[in-house]
Amino acid sequence: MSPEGSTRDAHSPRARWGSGPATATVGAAVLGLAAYFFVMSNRTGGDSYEAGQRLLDNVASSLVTLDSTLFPLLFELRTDLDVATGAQRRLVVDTRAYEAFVGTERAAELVDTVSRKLRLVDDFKAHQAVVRNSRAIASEMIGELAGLTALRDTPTRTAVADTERAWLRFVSLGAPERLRGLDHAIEAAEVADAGLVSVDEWHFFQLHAEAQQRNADRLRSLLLEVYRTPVGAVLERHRAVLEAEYRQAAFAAYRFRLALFVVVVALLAFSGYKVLQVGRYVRLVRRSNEQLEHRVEARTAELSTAAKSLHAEMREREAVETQLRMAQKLEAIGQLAAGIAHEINTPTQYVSDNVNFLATAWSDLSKVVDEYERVVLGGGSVDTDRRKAVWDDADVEYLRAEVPSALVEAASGLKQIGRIVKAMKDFSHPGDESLQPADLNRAIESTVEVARNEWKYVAELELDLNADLPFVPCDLSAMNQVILNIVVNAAQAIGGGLEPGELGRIRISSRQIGGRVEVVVEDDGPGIPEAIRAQVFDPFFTTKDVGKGTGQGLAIAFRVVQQQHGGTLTVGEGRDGRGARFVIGLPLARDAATDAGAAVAVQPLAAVT
Amino acid sequence: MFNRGRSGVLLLAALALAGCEPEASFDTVAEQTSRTFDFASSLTTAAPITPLQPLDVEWTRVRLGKRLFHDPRLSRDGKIACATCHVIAEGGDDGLRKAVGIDAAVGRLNTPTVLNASLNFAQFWDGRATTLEEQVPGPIHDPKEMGSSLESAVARLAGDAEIVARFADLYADGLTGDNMVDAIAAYERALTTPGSPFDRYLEGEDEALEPRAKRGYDLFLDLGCVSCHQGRNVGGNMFQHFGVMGDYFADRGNVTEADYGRYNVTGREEDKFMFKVPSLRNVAETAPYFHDGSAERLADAVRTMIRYQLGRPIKEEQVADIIAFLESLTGEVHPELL
Repeated sequence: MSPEGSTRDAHSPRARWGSGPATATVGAAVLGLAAYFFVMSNRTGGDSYEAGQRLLDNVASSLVTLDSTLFPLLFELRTDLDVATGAQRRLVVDTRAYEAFVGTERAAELVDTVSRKLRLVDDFKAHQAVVRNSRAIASEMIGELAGLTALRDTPTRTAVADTERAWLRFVSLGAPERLRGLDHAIEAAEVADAGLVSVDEWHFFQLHAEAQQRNADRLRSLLLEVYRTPVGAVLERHRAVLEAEYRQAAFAAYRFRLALFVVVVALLAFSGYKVLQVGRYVRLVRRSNEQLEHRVEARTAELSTAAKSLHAEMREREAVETQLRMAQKLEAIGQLAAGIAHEINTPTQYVSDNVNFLATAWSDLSKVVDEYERVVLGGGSVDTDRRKAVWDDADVEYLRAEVPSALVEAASGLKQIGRIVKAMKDFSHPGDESLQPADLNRAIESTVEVARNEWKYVAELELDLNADLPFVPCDLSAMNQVILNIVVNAAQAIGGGLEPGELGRIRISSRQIGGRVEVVVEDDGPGIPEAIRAQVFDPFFTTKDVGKGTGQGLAIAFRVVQQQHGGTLTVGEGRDGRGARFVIGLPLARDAATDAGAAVAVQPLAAVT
Repeated sequence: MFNRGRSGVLLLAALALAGCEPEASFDTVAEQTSRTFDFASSLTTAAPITPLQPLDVEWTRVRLGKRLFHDPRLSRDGKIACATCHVIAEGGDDGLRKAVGIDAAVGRLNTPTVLNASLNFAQFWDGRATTLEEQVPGPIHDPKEMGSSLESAVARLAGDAEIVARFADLYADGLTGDNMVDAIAAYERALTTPGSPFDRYLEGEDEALEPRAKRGYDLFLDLGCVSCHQGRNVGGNMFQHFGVMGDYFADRGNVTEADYGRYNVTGREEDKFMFKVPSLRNVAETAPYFHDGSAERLADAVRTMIRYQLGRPIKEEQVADIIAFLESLTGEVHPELL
């Protein structure tokens, strides 16, 4: 298999996996289906079932509580109804809660049964109070009656005693079958003593005996009815309904779970198949990768060779650049040398002339001195004419006037030479490329001095230097070169377009603006057309005639200012729209960025030096 | 995995249940019978009447309820407040034979006291409301009482920035009919009267009860009054026929539908003339008495009860002793609730 073939195969899985919309739709549908089955399989109704059962549990527990509170009342174990009533209310609330949960219609049977039971409980409570009271009152009345009838005749006493016995038997046994005996006893008592009917106690006794007959049995049967109210059965039915619903829901959920299982198995099978497929593709890809690796290795080797040669080229270029700068400096110095020679020559000339004059003057004066020696010291004869002739020959009057001025001129010439030499010394300050605080004004002055011969025939040069200018961190030698290049450039620009006898103007100013110092060099020459302004700092760009310039001056100035010093060098129109205006801006504080820039610019030069 | 899910659901359901258990509608009587019912202790003989304990009051809600209870804007004509008929400082009722409501309409029944109403097992003479929350809207909607509705009351109160703000502070949904009912019910629930001389006596302060009242209490037990008027509220926990031992209504005459009592709720023949046994707490302050307001003085009420409910003779000095006991049942409403 050719490398090309295997590469094509390695790409084909993507097509076969299908990133097309149809596959995405099918995938989404399958996942959606699985999610649907999952959700449905969890809808077992378990939560609602549990909640419903719990509510029924509450009803059942309240029911049991209520039932347990009632028969202590029957046996008068308890005389307050608060506990039973509380249980009643609890049952109401629990039943309502269940009703709220399953809905009024479904809870109707339970609610009805519970209400029925609660009404029976209300009846039971009312009856038990009546039965209890009337039993106590009847007992009290029959007791009173026995006392009241103690003085009456025997039949009356016997009848009342019989009635009391029948009553006590009824009460203590509590048996309905004893009611007849009580009835008989009451009848017999009334027959025995007709007057008994009008006695209050007898009346009340009869009233309560009847109430007992009416209610005692009823109370028992009421309690039985309460207990027999089929709330329990209804509860069980409700439980069963809830459970049936739960089973139904659970079965439905089970089917969904089954479906989910099927979908998941299908998905797993499909994924397994795809995994196998991918395995094959992976092997293919691996093989093609190996081939690719070989090629990459080869290419890497090529690249590393190229990188090495590039590095060498870069180093070479750096070296060339350094040499270029040196060359330009030499060029500038060479160019200046003639001018400087001329500058030095002029004062040398008149120093020399004056010294020659002084030599002549001295030889003339020495004749006068000789004559004086002969006459005054040697005691020779005084020859007035001869003396006059010597004096006149020497022209002492003239010498007296000229010698001092010749001395002054010679001294001034020497001073002039000294100044030029000092400027040269300053200008050619041996820079070590590091940025040291330096007096830029002095640099400007010495540069102007050194370059005097370049500008003095074409322009008047005006210095407007700020005396308070702070020391600027800079490489003074490099900055000298920058200023020189710009001044020479200006002078040459002016010189190109001058009428004879006409002088242009160059103005150099320095100032501080915030955290930076600016040196502005303006000329009133023809200026730099806007179209080429962007190019003037390009290396080898020049408008001068061949042989007059190498086009390196401004390019070097630009690199020195921007790269070495982290400053700016811009060019624009002069003040009146004439000439050119170069602005050198240097930062006073050296931040890290400038340092880095400086380091980059400095390092290759330092390496060469 | 499914089991864990279900137990989580169970827990949630339990929480939901706990949350929806209507605490507010659980009046204090019901709270006594908790789910952990102790059968054995239910068999022990307790005193038939038990003393009242001061309640913990949820003041913000109760103050709002108090404000509403005294607000006549709840009625149609803006003249009748709950407190118009339920004068808290004067026994919690109106002192009239029958209630006088909106447009001077005379009601069918005597105004029951609102004091300790929360301790009753049902509200109204016929017990048609189980909880205070069911009871509160009754008089507001009754055309002879306040002749209004919760909705229109809400509409009238909606203009009152202060009320609206107080509702907003208390309830997530602010001023609504249900929340109004809730606040009023909370106030009513706070209107208990602990600290009566009799309660103090029950709690062991023997000198709290004068000798006549002590004799009256003995009579109250012996004569059978206590069969119905028992428990914490000295009544209010059962229904009873009016006229067990004599036909009260035949003797009084002029029977109206209102006299049918519980029958009007259940429709069962045996419930005719059946009424909620009223609490006897503060009874000395709630004249006139009975659902028809027929007994002007306490002595009349005691005699009527002895005659028609107990069916027995009684001596006048016994009546006086019983009244002395009944007067000892007067407790005090918390002064801030007045």
